Amino acid sequence: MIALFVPCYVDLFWPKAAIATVNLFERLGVRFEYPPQQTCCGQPAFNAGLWDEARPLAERFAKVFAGYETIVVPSGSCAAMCSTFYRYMDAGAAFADIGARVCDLATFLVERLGVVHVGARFSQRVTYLDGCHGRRELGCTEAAVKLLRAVRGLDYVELPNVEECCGFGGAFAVKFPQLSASMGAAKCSHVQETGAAVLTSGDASCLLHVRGLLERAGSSVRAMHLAEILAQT
Amino acid sequence: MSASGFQRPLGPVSLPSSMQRSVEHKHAAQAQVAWTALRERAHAIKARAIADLDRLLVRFEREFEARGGTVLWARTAEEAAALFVDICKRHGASSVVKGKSMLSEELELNRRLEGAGIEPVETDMGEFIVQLAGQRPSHIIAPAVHLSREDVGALFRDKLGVPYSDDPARLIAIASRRLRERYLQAGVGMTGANFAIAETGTIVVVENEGNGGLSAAVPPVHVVVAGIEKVIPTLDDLLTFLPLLSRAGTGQKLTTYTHFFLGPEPGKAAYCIMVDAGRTQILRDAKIRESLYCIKCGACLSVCPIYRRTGGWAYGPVYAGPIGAILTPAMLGVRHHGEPTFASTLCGACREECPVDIDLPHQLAYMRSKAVLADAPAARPQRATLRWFARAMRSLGMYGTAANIARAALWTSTWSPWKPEAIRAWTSSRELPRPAARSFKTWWRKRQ
Amino acid sequence: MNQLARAELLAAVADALRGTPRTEALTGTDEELEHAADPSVLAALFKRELEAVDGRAELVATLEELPAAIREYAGRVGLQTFLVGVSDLARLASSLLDGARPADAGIEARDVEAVDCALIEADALLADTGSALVLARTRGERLLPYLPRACIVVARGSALHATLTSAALRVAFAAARSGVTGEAVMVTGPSRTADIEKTMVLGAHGPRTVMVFIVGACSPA
Repeated sequence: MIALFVPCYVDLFWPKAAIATVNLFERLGVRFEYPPQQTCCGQPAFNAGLWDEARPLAERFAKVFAGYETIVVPSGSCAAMCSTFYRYMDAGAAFADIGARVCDLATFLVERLGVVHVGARFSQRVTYLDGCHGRRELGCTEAAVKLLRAVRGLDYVELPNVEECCGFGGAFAVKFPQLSASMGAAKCSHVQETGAAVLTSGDASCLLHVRGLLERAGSSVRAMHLAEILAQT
Repeated sequence: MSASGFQRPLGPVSLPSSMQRSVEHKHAAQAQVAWTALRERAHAIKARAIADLDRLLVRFEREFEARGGTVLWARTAEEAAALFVDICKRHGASSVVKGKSMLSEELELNRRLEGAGIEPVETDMGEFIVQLAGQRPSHIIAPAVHLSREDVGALFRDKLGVPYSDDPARLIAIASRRLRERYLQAGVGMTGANFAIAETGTIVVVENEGNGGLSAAVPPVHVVVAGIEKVIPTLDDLLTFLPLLSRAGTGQKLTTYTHFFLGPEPGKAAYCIMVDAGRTQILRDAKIRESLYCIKCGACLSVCPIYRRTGGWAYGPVYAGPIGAILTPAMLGVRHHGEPTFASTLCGACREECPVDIDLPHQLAYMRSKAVLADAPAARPQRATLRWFARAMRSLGMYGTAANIARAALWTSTWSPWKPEAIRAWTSSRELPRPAARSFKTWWRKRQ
Repeated sequence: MNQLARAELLAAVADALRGTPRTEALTGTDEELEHAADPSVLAALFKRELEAVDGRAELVATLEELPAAIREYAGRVGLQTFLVGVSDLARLASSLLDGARPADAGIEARDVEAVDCALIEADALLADTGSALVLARTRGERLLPYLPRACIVVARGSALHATLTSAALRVAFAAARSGVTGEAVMVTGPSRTADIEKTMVLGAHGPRTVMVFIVGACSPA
C-alpha cells in the first residue's frame, strides 16, 4: 500500500501541490492512503542541529507510516531527509531504515509506476528548478524532466546553471538573508534568461523563496509545483 | 546582528564568475579520466589508511629513519613550533625558507619562529605577497586571489622599494630574484607534505612554482611538517592520488613538479614533524572522521555558493569553505567557531566536487548538532522558534495550533510595524509567502 | 623527550580508533594500465603535451646526432654555461658544449645558480602529460632541475611510457624501496604561477624554459 506524505510547509503554504498530487494519483488509478496523524519529517530541527528535537519527529514519522510499502512525498528535500539524513543521524534507530520506502513524486511516477506520460496538457514555456537535496541526494532530476517533456504542449527549457543552489536552505533564508537573497537573485536572473512563463520545481520550499524574489522584482513569471503541472488537463 | 563576513557578503565582485570558470576548467580535466572510479578508489584508500593510522605512522617512522631522517612527534601547535625552533637552533639557522603549508598557518609557525628570533620567509608567490601585505591567505590554493595586479604593484613599490609596475610577469620576476637570495642564505628549508608514504618513508609534495623544490633542496636542512592524516600506505596509492589532486585542485593533469623526497642525501639532514593538533579529536568521532580524508585541494571552496560570495576570511582561522567549516570547529572547539557550519544551505555541491567523496553536508549538519549542545552563539538565532515548532509537530493538536499561530504572525506582519526577526529578515528582499486559505489537511478532511 | 610525545600521540590515535574494524595495512591497489605503443607515437604525443604546458621537445634519431643537436639549440637560444648531471647520456649530450662542466656531488648552490642551464637525464617520460622523471642522488644533482633558469632534459626513446603507472615510475619507486636517498622529481614543463590575478607567468622560481631531447624515437624514414 502507498501512503502520501504532505510536508508541513506544503500543508500550510502550498496545499495546491498536495491537492494536485491527489488528483494525479486518482487520474492514474493509484490507490493510496493519507495517514491523517502525519505532521513533519523533522528536517527544520535536524538542519538547525536540534537533533534532540528531530529524533522524536523521526520516530513519530516511522510510527505514522509503519506498514506502508511506499511513502510518496511531493518534496525532494523531505524525501532526502528521510532516506539519507535519518540514517546518518542514528544508524541504529528504528527510523533509520524507513528511507528505503520513501520516494519523491517524480521518481515514484517514473521508476516505481513506470509512467512518463501522465495525460497532462499545459501549453506554456516552463523551466525547472532543481532542489539540491532532490538533485544530489536522490538524483530525481532526470525523472522530473522526463515528466515535464511528456506534457502535451509544454515548451520545456533548461535553466542555465541549474546546479547552483537557489539560496533557500530552510532557516538559512532568515539567518543569512543577504547570502540567501544574493543566491536567489542569481537564480532569478537565470529564470528570466529562459523566457519561461512558469517556473516549476519538485520543492515548494525553494519556490516560496524564488517566487518571493520574483514578486518583489515585479516579474510576471508564475511559480507552480511539478504536481500542479502534471495535474493539468 | 553580528558583523560577521556571512552577514555582509564582501567577496570581491569577480569571485563568483572566476570560480565558475575554474570549476569548468577542472571538470574538463576530470572528463579525461575515469573520474568516478578514481574518486571511489581514493576514498577507499583513505578509509583504510585512517583506520590503520597508528600502525602506518609507526611504519612511516621506521622507513623515514632507516634512510637517515628523524621523525619527531608534536601533540600540539606549541610542541610543533618548539621542535622546529630547536632544529633551527641546533643547526645554527637564523632564517627558514618555507614552501606552501596550510598546516604551518594552523600552527602559527611564523609567529612562533619570529618569537624565537628566527626569520620565516614565505616563498610561494601568493604567500610571499600576503606576507608582505601583512594579511592572511584567502584561499587554500590561491592565497593572493583577493588582490589585484595594481594592489601587488603598489605593495612591491612600497615594501620592496622597486619602481611601480602592474605587469604580472615583471612583478613575479622581481619576487623571484628577491627569493633566490633567501634560498641561498637560509639554514633550514621547510615544506609541508601532500602525502607521506608509510611503505618507504617517502614524502610527496606537488606544486607549480618550484619553491617547494628549492626550499627542500638548497638549504642543508629540510624539515617536513605534516599532519598525521597525510600518511597513506604505499607508493602505488599515488597512482590514484596524483591525477586526482592536480585535476581537482587546479584542473591540471599534473602539476609542474611532483617531488618524491626519498631521504637526506650525503651532506643533508632531514626531519619530519608529525603533528596531531586536534586531529586525534576528529579521529575519535566516527561521524566526522571522514573529514581527515581531505587532500586539501580546495575544490569544495571553488564550488561553494557561500564561499564564492564571502571569500576566505569570513571562515576564521586557516581553513575556509565547507571543509573549513568542519575542521576548524572540530579542532578548535565549536563554541567559538560554529558560524560557518550554519552559513550553508547544505546543497551538497561540495560533496559532488570533492575528489575523495567526503560526505561534507552530513558532517556540517552534525557539527551544528554539536554547536547546539555546546550552546554556541552561532546556534542561537531562531533556535527558540525552531525548537518550539519541532515540539509542536509531535501531536496533531499542537500542529494545528502552531499552524494557526504561524498564520496569525504572517497576517499581522502585512500591516503591523512589529515583526518577528525571521519575518523581517525574509521581507528585506522577498515578498512573504501567503498561507493558503485552507490547509491540505482541512481540504482532505472535508473531502471524506 | 620526544619519545613521550611520540608515545602519547600514537596512543591517542590507537585510542581514537578503538572499535574500528581493521584492514590489511599495506597493499598495492593498482593494476597496470600500460598498453604497448610504438615509441614514435608516444614521442609525438609527449611533444604535443609538453608544448601544451609551455615546454618544448625535439626528437633526435641517433645518439651520434645528439651532441650537435644540443649545441645547435644552445647557440640558437643563447645558452653559454652549463652544469651537467652525472649520467652517461647527459655527459655525451654535453660533449660539444664549450661551457659545460659536471655538477659535482658537493657543488655550491651559488655556483649552480650562476650557470645559464642545467643538462640532466630523465629516467622516464610520460607521454600523456609531457612529464620527465629525474632522479637526483647528490646535493649537486638535486639543485640542477631548479636553480638554473633554463633546463635541458635528455632521454632515450625507451624511457617513454604512455601514462602514469607503476612501470613509468619504476625508477623512482625502486629507489625509494631500496633505500636510495635524495629526490626523484617529475617535471612537467617550466615553473609557473598564476598567483597574481590568475595570470599565468612562467619561471616563477625554477626554470623558465624546459627543452626535452628524445633520442631514438623518430618515425622510420
